[in-house]
Amino acid sequence: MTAEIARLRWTVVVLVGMSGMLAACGAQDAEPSRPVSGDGVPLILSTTSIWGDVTAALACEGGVRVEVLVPEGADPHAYEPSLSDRARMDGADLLVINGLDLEEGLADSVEATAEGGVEVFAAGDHVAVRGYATTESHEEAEEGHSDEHEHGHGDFDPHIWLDPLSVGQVLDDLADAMVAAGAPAEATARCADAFGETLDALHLEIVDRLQPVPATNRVLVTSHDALGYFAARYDMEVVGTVLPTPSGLAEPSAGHLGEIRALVEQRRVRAIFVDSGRAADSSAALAAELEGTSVVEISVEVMPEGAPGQRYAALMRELARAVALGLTG
Amino acid sequence: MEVITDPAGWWIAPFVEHSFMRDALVAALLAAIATAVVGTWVVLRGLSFLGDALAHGVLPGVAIAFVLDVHPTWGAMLAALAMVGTLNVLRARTPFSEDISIGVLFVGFLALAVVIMSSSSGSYSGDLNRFLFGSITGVTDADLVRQAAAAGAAVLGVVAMYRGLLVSTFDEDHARLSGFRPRAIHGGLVSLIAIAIVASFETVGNLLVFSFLVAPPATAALLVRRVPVITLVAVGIGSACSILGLLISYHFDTAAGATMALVTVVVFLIAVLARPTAGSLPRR
Repeated sequence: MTAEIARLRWTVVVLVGMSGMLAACGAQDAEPSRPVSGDGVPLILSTTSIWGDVTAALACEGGVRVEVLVPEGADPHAYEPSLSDRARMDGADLLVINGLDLEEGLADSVEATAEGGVEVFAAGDHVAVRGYATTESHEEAEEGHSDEHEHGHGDFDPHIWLDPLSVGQVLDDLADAMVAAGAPAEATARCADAFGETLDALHLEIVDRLQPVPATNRVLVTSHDALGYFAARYDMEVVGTVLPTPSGLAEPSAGHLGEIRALVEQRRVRAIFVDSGRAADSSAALAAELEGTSVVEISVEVMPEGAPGQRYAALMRELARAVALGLTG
Repeated sequence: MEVITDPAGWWIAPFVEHSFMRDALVAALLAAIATAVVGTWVVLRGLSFLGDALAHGVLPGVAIAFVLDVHPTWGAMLAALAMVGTLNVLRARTPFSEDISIGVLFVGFLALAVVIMSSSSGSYSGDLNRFLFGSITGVTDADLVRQAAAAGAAVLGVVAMYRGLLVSTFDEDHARLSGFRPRAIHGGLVSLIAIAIVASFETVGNLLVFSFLVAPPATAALLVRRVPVITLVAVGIGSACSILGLLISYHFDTAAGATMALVTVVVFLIAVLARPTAGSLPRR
C-alpha cells in the first residue's frame, strides 16, 4: 500500500507538472501565426450575410475578397463555429461582425481571434444604438428589476441593419477599417460614397412605400423583437412580441400570449409579423382567434438572391412592402 | 487517405499552423486529465448517474451568473455545491436509494436553468447552447489558466484522499474500522467531480464532459487492474481521444466537442469487443 501511494504521488507530480506546462505553452503562443492569403488580396470576412453584402458594396471596384462565415439561412444568434470556421477567422485580414451580442455562439471565437491579432470591426460600435422595443415592459418595472439590467450585456437591440440610415452611419468607419486591412483607399471611398447615396435613396423609397399607412395603424406586433430600429425610423411602435424575450430558449407562456392578444385587440393591430419562422405556430394560433388580424411573413436576415452589394437593399424593399401590405391590407 | 499518405500533414500540421488549434488541444488535454483522474473513482464506485446529474446540475448556476453578469464558472461551482448539499439532505431524510434523489434533482436543476433563462429579459446570452456543447473554437488565455487551476485542484484532491477512497471503495466496513469516514470521503469525491466538471464544461461542453468523465476510465478499467494504473491509462486514453477528436473535427468539419466525445465512446466499445471475456471490476 505504501509503495502504491508513493508511486501515485509521483504520478500526481507528473500530472500537475504537465497541466502547468500545458497551460503555460497555451498561454504563450498568442502571437499570430496566420497564413497570409496566397494571392496577396486582403480577405474581409463578415459573420452575417447582411454585413457581407454591405462589405461587398464597399468593395464595388474589387481589390479585396469578401466572404461570409455564417451560412445563409442559419440563425446568427445560435450559429456555433467549427474548427475550420475558426481557421477562416484567423486567416482574415479584417473580421466584420454585427456585435451587440447578435452573434452569441461566435462570441468566444471572436474574442479569441481578436486576442490572436486579427482586426475586428463591430458595426454595433459605430451606430446610435437603442434598447429593445419591448423589454422595459410594465411588469418588469413593477418588479424593480429594470435598474439591474441597465447597460449590462445584451441590453441593446442588435438588429441595427433594419434601418438603412443606421447602416449609413457605419460606412465611413467600415471603409477606413477595410483600407487599413489592405483595401485600395480611393476605390473604397468612392464605393462608400456611392453606397451612402444608395442608402439615402432606399430610405426615401421606404418612406414613400409606407406613406399609405395611416397613423393609427402604425403599431407592430412581431414574433421576436427585431423591428425596433425599423419602427423608430419609420414612425411606428413595436407594442409587443410573441416571444417574451429575445432569447432563443424562451417560449411564450400562456399568460404572455393572453397579454399579447389583449394588446392586439385593444390597439387594433392589423398584422402579426413573423420573422424567419420564429414562433410561427403561436402567432398563427393567435391571429386565427382574432378577427381582422393576419399573419405576415417577413425576412429580417435572409436576403433575396441578387448581385453582391445590392441584396441588402432588396431585403429592405421587400420588408417595407410586406409591412405596408400588412398594415393597410 | 491523408491520414496515411501524409501523416505529418494530417496529424501535426494543424497544430503547427494554427495557434487556436494549440489552445484547443491544451484545453482538451486539461479536461481529459481532470476528468480521467476523478472519473476513475466515478467508474469504480458506480457513480456515473451522479456524474451526469452534476454535469447538468451546473446549468442553473450558469444561468444565474448570466443574469448577474459574473463569470459562469462561479455560478457553475455554486450550483454544483448546492446540488451536492441538497443530495446530502435528501439522503438523510428519505428512505430511497440515492439514485432516486439524484434523478429528482437532475430534472429540478435542469428545469430551473430553463426557467431562469427564459425569464431573464432582453438578452441573447440566454442561450444555453454554448455551455451544452462547449466552445473549443474560442479558447482564451484566461480560460486556460482557470482550467489548469481546476485540473490541478482535482488531481491534488484525489491524491490527498487516495487512501480513504481506496479503502472505502472496496470495503466500507474496513474503512470505518480503520478510522476513515466513508460519508466524508464520498462528499469529498462528489466535490471533486464538481470541480472536474466545472473545469471542463466551457471547452468541451456540459453534455460531453460527462463522456470524458466515464468513458476513458471505464475503458482503462477494462484493460488494466490496479487503480493507479487505471488512472494513468485513463489519462492517456482521454488525451488520445481529445487529439484524435480534434483532428477529425478539423479535417472533416464536424462539431469539435461532440466528435471528441464520440471518439471516447467508440474507443470504449472497441475495448469491450477486443476483450475476450467479461471480468469483474478491478480490485486493488
